[in-house]
Amino acid sequence: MANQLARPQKERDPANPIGAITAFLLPALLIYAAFTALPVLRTFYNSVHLIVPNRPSEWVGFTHYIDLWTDRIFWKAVWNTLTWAIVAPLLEVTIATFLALCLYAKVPFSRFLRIAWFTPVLMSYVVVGILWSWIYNYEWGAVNTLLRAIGLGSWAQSWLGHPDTALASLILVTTWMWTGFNMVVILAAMSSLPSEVLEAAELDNCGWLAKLWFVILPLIRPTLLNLIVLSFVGKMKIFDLVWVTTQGNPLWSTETVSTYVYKRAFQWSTFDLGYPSAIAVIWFFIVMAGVLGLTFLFRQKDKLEY
Amino acid sequence: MAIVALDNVGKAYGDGKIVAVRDVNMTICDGEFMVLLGPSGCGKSTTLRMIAGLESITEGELRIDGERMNAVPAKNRDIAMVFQSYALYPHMTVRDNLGFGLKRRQTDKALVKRRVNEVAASIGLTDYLDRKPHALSGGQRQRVALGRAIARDPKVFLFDEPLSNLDAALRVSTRAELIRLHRELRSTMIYVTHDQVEAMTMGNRVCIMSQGKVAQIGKPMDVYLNPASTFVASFLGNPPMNLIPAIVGEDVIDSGCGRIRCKGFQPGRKITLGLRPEDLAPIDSAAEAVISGRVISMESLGAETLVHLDTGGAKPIILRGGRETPAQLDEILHLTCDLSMARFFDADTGLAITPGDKK
Amino acid sequence: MRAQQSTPRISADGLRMAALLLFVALFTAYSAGPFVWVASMSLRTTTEIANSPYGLPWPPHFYKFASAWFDSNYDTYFFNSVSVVLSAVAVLTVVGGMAAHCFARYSFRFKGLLYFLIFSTIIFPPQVTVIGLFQIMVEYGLYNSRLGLVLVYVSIQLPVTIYILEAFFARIPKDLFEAARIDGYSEWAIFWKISLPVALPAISTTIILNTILLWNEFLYAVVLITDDDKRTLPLGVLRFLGDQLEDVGMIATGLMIAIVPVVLIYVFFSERLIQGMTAGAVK
Repeated sequence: MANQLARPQKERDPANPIGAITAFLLPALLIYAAFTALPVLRTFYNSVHLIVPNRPSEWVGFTHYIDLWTDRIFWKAVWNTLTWAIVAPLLEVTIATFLALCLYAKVPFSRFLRIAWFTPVLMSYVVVGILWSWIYNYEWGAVNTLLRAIGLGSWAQSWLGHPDTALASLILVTTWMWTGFNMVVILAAMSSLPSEVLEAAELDNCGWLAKLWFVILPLIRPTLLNLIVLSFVGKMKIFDLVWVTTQGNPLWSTETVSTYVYKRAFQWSTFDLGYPSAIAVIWFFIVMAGVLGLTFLFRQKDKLEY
Repeated sequence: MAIVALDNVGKAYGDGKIVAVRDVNMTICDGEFMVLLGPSGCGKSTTLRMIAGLESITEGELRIDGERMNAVPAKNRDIAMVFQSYALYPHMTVRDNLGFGLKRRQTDKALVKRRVNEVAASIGLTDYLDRKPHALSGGQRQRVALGRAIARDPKVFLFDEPLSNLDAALRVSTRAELIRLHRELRSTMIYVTHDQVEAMTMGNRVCIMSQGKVAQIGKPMDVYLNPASTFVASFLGNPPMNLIPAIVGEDVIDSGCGRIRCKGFQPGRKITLGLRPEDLAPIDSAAEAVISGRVISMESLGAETLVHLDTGGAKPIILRGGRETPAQLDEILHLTCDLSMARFFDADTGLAITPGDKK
Repeated sequence: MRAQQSTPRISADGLRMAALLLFVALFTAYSAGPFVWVASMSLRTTTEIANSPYGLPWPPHFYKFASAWFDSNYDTYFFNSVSVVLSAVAVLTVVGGMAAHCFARYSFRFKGLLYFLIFSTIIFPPQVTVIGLFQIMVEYGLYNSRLGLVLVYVSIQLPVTIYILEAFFARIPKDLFEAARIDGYSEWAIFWKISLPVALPAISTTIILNTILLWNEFLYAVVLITDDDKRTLPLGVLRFLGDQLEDVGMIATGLMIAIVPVVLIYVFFSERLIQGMTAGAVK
């Protein structure tokens, strides 16, 4: 009876035991806090300090950010990365849509092709980088060999060695890697379209192109937009491929924000972690703004129901 | 073997803003089969889940065998539950499904094994012990769910619409099996359903719920014969009781399309007259008729015929007649009724009018 | 009449099909060509390659795999990668599974906020974590350590693991957990005996996905590991490239060693892997 009196009026919710919830979440939260949240906060802290080894960090206010404003290499890197992040998604998704349509139209071996085209995305950027730097090799690379074979030998050049072609060449490498991935997703979206809708379109006397343009594409629009955002985010992060192939050369023509941050933080003998942190912070906001902007731009007013 | 008592039990969500169940009072006797019946959203499942310990009780008290259970976790209440979806563990064989609850309480493996075999034999699944649920038919899955509860030999069995996923024929046979089971086990059972046939045939008592509250508790036939309110009257019975708005005159009740002799009511009072379709019978004389109306449709169901009459009211009046069609379409039919079978409800509150309350 | 009409239509269809096939064939060459080439080079000597870069690997020199493996530190790199990736994946599966189970099953205060915090990191650029992480790892004493790398790998794959598993756990009917609860099992036992076994398809998807992605991871490894004998395979491949510089044939062999495990996993689990990789993209 005393027990009953002591108990608070509001009983614990048996469906949501707080002890179990804490126990289940704690490991993930600890790892998240220690290796994601804390480093991010630390980077923010760095960005307003001068951080040099063996000296206490020194508050410098927004000096780094002001310096950034006049850092031509930084702006070059921003320009390159944005170009990459805008061109690559469009290339990947457009080609992938055509490929998906081919498989959707029941091209022979489509099951095999789907698996084969997906493969590049499984490779590490290190392997891909080395492989493609050979393909772009001036003397014996596949691109130049092909050009010479079809009589366009005068076009042959050192693709990654020339400032005008290096970035475009690398963009084609990411397209090579990611198109198959996008194709698989688009194909899945197409296959899950209700066949009734397509049959209805056929009864409405829709031709192949009309069906594609007025029925299929609008219906898979959310998937396409989602892929564009995903690809955009991926390219804003790009580091490995550039690092393995050109390291930002020639003449900063392939410098990306990631490689520049890495160079300023770990390679150049400036040894100040504050300045690259400021770049990272700025970049963080640019990526967030980009994602929010794209999501806002692509927002669907009414959800499709079928 | 247990007595389950609910004292003013209630359930509110979101700091009391949404009340799902309120003031449920009932005592389920040892070995009793209690059916909670009501339309969807009436709070019957929530009540059952509170008894099970799957939902917290925000008001009142739940006792099993006199012991307060509000704060006791589900696993310590010694109850078993059969779910509407059966909730069989898809990755375990029938044998493991039956033994899963036992293993937690009984460490002696030989005992568990014996019990599982016993139960499997009693539900006729001995040959299926090594199958997984996806390789069973709907009826077999249902039996495994039942067997899982039996194997535990709990104080109280809880059923949450266990037959609603079965087809009609299987439902009838499983119903009979559950009745047999209850007779054999003599355990306390609480059974939630929205199917009145299950409630009528299986329950020792029925608790009809509406909008989170208990509308009436009683033996099935008592509830059927003497519904406590127009809600119960219209919910129980298929087709339901005819409810006709009427006004009390001098020693007579006027339904607008007929009259019934009746003493004791205060003249001028508005009431609702309740007449079961099977209590109505056609007569020739219009003067004697309790109700008259034009036949608008007839449904021959084989054993009986339902005749719908338009009396000018909002809903047609239904008469349950014999196999031979007692009427023609568009014919004017006069109906009479045994006064003792007529029920009266207050027009405003919808509650039954008891003899002492006629004024 | 009908025959006359349908004849030109067939040829138009045929033309369209031919165009499709050409496009498909060209793309397949673009997509698969580089692999075929590197695979053939991995079996040829540098001299053979210099004479004819696109020749057939005949006779095949399988010994090159052995010399790449033993003559450089390839075995060390390989086992570093295996141990780091497997430990990280094991921790990820349990920790991610627990968190996903929690998000899918229970409702609690700040759930929405935690959910948002964890999943927003999926789009974080790694630059914003990598510098702070470098400093913190040095301070924790986890810099240049495989344990440190394991923990970092767990943290970078955690959001997407929780995301995939949560979606699957949420589809398991609630009744199953309530039945187990009534059967007398604790929340912890329910997680191990119900959630994990029932979600096995999703679990294996995340295991394969995480294995591949971490096997290929480069940025965090290059920042956090300096000792040669702690390098993972992607770092090792790069190091190998530096050592062998002009020995194209040998490097090709090295690349193949890095590719083969991934290809093997892909051969056996292609559908599952595709499912995992595309899980975040399908909406």
